[in-house]
Amino acid sequence: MIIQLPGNVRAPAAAREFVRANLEAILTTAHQSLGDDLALIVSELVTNSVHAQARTIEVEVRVDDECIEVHVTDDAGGWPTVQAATVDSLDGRGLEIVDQLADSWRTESRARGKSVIATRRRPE
Amino acid sequence: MPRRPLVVAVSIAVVGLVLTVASSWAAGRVDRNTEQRLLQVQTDQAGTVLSTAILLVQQPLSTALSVEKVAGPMGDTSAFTNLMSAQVGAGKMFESASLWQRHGHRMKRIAQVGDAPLMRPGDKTTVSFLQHAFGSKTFIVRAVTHDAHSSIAYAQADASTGFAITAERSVPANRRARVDNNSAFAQLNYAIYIGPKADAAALSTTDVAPSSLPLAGTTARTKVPFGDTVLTLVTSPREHLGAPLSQRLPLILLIGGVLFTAFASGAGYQLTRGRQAVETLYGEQRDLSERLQRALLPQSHPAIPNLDIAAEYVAGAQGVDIGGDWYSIVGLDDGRYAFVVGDVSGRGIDAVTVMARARFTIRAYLLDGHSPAATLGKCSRQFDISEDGHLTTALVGVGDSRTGEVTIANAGHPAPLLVRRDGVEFVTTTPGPPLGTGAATYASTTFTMTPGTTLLCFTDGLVERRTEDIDTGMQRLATTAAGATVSSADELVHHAVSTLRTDDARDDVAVLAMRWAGAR
Repeated sequence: MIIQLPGNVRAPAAAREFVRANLEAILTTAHQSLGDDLALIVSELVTNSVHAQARTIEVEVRVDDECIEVHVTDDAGGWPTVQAATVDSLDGRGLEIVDQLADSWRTESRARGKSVIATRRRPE
Repeated sequence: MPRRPLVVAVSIAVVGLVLTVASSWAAGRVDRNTEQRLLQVQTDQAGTVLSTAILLVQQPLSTALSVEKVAGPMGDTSAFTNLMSAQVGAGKMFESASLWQRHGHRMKRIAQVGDAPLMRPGDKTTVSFLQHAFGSKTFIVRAVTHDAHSSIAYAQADASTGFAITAERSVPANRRARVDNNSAFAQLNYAIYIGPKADAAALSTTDVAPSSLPLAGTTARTKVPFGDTVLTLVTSPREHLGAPLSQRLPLILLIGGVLFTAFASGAGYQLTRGRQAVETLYGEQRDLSERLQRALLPQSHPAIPNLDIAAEYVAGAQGVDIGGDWYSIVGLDDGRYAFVVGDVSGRGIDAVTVMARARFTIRAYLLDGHSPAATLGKCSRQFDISEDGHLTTALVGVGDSRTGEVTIANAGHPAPLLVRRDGVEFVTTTPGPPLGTGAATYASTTFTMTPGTTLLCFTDGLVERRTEDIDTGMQRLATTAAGATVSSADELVHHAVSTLRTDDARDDVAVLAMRWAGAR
């Protein structure tokens, strides 16, 4: 599934809800925490895009029998970098969280903007 | 299967009582076996004590006989008299003692001490008793009764010298005696019989009323050699011999088991009833949610010329919470019609209320004459995920039943499928953001259906599967629709739902199909 979100303050919440609603139907009750992790990953990525002044953000969830991938594509400039947030920083942790929660993640350049793709393996 | 509380309670009670009775019985049996064993041990001890007591009877007799062997031939009986005087008299071993000498077949009493013995010289029984004594290696015993008196007579004879000694010991008339106030007998009721049989006639002594014999209940017996015969000792316990707990255990188990069973049975009843109540409540709640949702779905489709309409809603198999999928179709002026298929994220009553708002808001704008894109644009200002927590996708369209022209706008919803006689294709839409994400503008897509074409709109529940990308699901839908030989919208909807929907699908599904027959 794919949705487009306007780059506003509601986008992170909308992205979380989108991922949650999609994975709810896909994951068994025992593995809902995986859905929570992916919702958080997407929320952080979309927050980054909003901070980067994106006008439109696309969120996509792709599933197969081994992995779940979330794609966050925006039309903003800038390139995602992991910042060394200090202990008391309120933000600047987005990609650090993604790095912790995702099994792998990568960034791809688009004609306008870029995509960040985070992957989690499905539980057996 | 519904479990009836009473059945559960009774089952628990039956099992509990059976176990209780069985364990109580087993404990009782162990206790009885222990009692029997302890009684036998004590009885054997008492028998040993009894056999030492017999020595006390035998010893004076054999001593006197030995003395007589030396002194007797001189006709001196004073030794006998002196010796036995110590043993004869009130409170002593014997009531009387006699010294006899054998002359051929005659037995002559040559000395006597103490009371007049019941065995008198010349009696046939006396003679045969003495003759028997001469024939025996040990002393012999006989119960003698004369008038109201009973005695036990002992005799020991020495065939080489021809001397014999008899002694008598009277038996109390009631045959009761606190014989041998010995610790070996302390916990026992007993009856001592002369001879191997425990007959009333052979009773020697007992510590209970002779009329209450033979001893009842748990009994043990042992035999003690007694001269030429035996004593039979029969005992029964006066009190419990084993540990007090062992005696009370069966009762404790019984009472404890019954109480526990009653408690478990009651608890089982309550739990089952509670569960039943919860199940009923759960069912009612789900039923209520589903009724609410169905009430919000159209009861019937409007009659629109040339348009065959069919729709279906299927609830997901995910607990009590229902989804927020919906469809709607209304007739407008001049043969035009408007339709919506939408999906509110999340589940439960909250999702259904957002769905109701979306459904009526969109419908109101469409009835007011707004285009699909304008309708979605206006709605995008009225829904806010930060207020209600839900995201709404919707496909909104307006069609003309006279020309087959359809204009649609898409707020983050799966694109509809066009099912033509010669093939299927998804309508290419320009999806805008879902409702709830903020004000947005939406693009329109306009296309014209050829006669006999069906426009199939659906929610993602139809194409989602656990381990597949949604693209794969969309492709399967296209293949399914293309392979179907259907002649009505209803058949297509039914075919698509029954083919694609799995029983364990968690998400709910709304499907709306509109088949345009062509202008007439």
